[in-house]
Amino acid sequence: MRDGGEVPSPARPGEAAASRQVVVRASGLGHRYQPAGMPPVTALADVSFSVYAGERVAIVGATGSGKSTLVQHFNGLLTPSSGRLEVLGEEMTPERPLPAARARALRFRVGLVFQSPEDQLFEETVAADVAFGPKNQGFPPSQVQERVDWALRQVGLAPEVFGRRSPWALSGGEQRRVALAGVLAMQPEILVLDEPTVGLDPAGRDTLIAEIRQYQAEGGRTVAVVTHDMELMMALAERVLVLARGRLVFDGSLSQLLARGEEQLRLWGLVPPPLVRLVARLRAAGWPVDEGCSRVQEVARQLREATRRWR
Amino acid sequence: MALTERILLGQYVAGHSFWHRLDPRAKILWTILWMGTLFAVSTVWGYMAFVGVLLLVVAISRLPVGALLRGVRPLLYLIVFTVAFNVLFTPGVVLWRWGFLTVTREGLVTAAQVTARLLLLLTGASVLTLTTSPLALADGLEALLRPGQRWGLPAHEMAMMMSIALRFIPTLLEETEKIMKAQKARGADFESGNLLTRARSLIPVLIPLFVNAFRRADDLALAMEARAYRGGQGRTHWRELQWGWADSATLLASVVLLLGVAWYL
Ligand SMILES: Nc1ncnc2c1ncn2[C@@H]1O[C@H](COP(=O)(O)OP(=O)(O)OP(=O)(O)O)[C@@H](O)[C@H]1O
Ligand SMILES: [Mg+2]
Repeated sequence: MRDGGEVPSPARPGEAAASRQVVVRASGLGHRYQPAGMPPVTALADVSFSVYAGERVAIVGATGSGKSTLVQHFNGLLTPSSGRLEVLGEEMTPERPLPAARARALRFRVGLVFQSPEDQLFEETVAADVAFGPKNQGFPPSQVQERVDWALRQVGLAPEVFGRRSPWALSGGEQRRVALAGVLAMQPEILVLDEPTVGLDPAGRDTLIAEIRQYQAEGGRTVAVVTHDMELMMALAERVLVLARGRLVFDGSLSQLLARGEEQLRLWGLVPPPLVRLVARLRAAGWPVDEGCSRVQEVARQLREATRRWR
Repeated sequence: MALTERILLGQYVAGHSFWHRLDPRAKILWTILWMGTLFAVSTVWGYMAFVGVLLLVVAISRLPVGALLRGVRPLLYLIVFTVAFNVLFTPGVVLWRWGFLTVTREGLVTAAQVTARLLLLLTGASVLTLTTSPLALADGLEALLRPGQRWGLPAHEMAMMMSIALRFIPTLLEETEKIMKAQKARGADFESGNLLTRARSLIPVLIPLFVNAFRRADDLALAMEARAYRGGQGRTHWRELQWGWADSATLLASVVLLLGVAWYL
């Protein structure tokens, strides 16, 4: 058996920094909510990081740690309350928020798929709903049609079959894919997804991950995914940002994160996936397995090597 | 600014102040008294006195004044509109004229009055919802409506409907905000264009909002059914309402004060 097509990730952001272009740069970014009649909530404080073109980043952390708040800054839906954010050359500061027209233009370049995006479907047919974005972009009808068909195929829904159906007559998983197609149809340079796998079955999740990866790989696009789902993180991300109570507590490669060990992950509100716990047990029992192994195949290979050496 | 940052109505701010602990029935009656007497006031001194009473109540309930005022902001358009309407179209002593527009002294006075009334009405009413939990509010309302049951008034159902509605106002606001953001993320534009374009731009928000609201109502009905909910007949309360001397005293003092102000000032 060979390691079927598993490419080890480059995994060192510093390396990428030299060669690639920065698409998102946060410097001391902070955000405070001011709910009516209640004390203000500091959702983000002093967050600094950069994302490079073509990267696959996971943003993880316990519930309420500020993940959704963070990514809603990426396309100008929220404006920083402190610090600075640069996205694709557009700069946002508390003093100078993005003018409405520029923010709108940025939203076509940074596609944000919200949590439970199926809750926003509104058109009579699937095709019309997916067309909402490209229409707003101002494409002529023929090009809108082209993009709609392309986006639906991208998420595994045949346009001839699903295009004319009502979004309300679809299963939850299909609705989710239609909503994803609605954002893909704008062909954003950066794709941001907020908890895309919540409520999907394992098969649905795997399909979704494959679709996201395909979109990303096609043109070296950048993907940022907010998630609690460690399996999704392991399958998709090469780089991980961990938020805890609004602060950035970790920024590094996936294997560096896993190497921090179960205890630390739990402190950040992350439940380590079974593979990580297996590696920890193996190491505790004296097996020479690398800490931070993120793929089953890799663990298997190291175990095979170790047994061969002993023989 | 986000919707939930602007709209205060129907939101309870937990606390233990004297006003928080008053019997909900007393607070509901107080609010009715407040609204009733407010419409009898017509002099500057009268309004000043009402502002004074309101400040006193706010101080007693330890509500943040800034937040209370922020909650008034959504009414700003209504106020600006009524003020403009009154200033421009009330006949009387002309103070200023520009083309067909005239500003009269009477117009200014009416405009000031209407503004004061609207502001006092809204802030006075929001003190009730800010200091009374939805559950207590529903219990209080039900208790007040109960005598009407003899003539077929569905007291319990009405109170329950109201408390469910109140309970879902913040949820619906949050949901509206989320859907608006999601459609904005696909390039929806709610801020430009004329009135018609703007109204049309809300369709992508309203449709999912209604669909979700109906689904939520369905879920709620199912959940109530599953718990064998059967309405008010024979239902007991975990916490019985208890009318105390503080309630009588507060209400009595308010009746004397507010009626006095409305009558004499
Ligand atoms: N509109 C809002 N008004 C007030 N507070 C808010 C608002 N949105 C979020 N918050 C608060 O900001 C903090 C961060 O919220 P955020 O939604 O970014 O967290 P999250 O990491 O996405 O959590 P989850 O995993 O549950 O989605 C939380 O404490 C939350 O209560
Ligand atoms: Mg979130």
